[in-house]
Amino acid sequence: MPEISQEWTAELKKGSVQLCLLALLTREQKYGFQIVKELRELSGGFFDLKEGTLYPALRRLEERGFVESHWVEPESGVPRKYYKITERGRRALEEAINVWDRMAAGTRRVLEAAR
Amino acid sequence: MMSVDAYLRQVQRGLGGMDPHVREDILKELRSHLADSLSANGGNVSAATDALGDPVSVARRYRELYGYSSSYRLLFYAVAGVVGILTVPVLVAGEESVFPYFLSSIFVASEFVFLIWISVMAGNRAGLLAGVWGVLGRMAGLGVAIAANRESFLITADGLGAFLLVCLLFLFVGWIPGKARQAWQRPGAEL
Repeated sequence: MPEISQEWTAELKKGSVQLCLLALLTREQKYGFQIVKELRELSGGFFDLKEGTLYPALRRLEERGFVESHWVEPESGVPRKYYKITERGRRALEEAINVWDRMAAGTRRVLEAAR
Repeated sequence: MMSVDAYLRQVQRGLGGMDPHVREDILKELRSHLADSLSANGGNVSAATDALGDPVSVARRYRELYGYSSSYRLLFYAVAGVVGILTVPVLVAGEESVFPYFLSSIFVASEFVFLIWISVMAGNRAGLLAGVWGVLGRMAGLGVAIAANRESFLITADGLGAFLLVCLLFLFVGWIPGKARQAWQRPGAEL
């Protein structure tokens, strides 16, 4: 059994997953399965959340106006819902990355000093 | 092992009363995801559905986001209003007897249960509104009772106090459980 609580780790994941979802959309629009897969692979398995939690998280970003979505229905094959970051989403991402960097740098300095 | 269709049916069941467009869009997206997932994992259905997660909790997450459609909420308010009318004891029978009070107290209890359910399932705002409709129904019931027994109708201070107390409790019970639920299970920190 690990010494730290599972809640703490879960909170860290919850608090950063939307930032990562938004970041994955900066360069191009993507569909759900692609986002889920990239999140898992790029994070080295840290975001091992159930895939069913990521779709509502994407939709929450949509409700906030940070992403927008549309269906692409190919002649043959699977119809897919694509997500695209909005201008508001880009501004939000920039702010969130700023907060994240300050938190990471601040925490790092404290940890190094205490070593 | 659960088929893709069976899995999606279970999610669909958990999305009952949601705006139909939103519900269809969610199911279409999950179906699309499962198709991609199956072609990536070589057709292993249970691995694909397991990775998505338990259908009931998947549906619950969407419910937290979208709640109930406006027509369902209106239905909740209407029922709360009608039950509110029935909670007025004098309406059940003109003559004083123990039975009408007993019957109306059953309706009061049902209204409480219903309001708590709305508050938890559809959110504290919907719960409070349903409570308001319950109070309005109660006022309407009292109004009808007064109009029907104009000469003999007697409002005592105790009776009025009890009447208003129950009205207040309706609002309270509509608002608090949903609020408490929000506080206890904070949705993941949002951007």
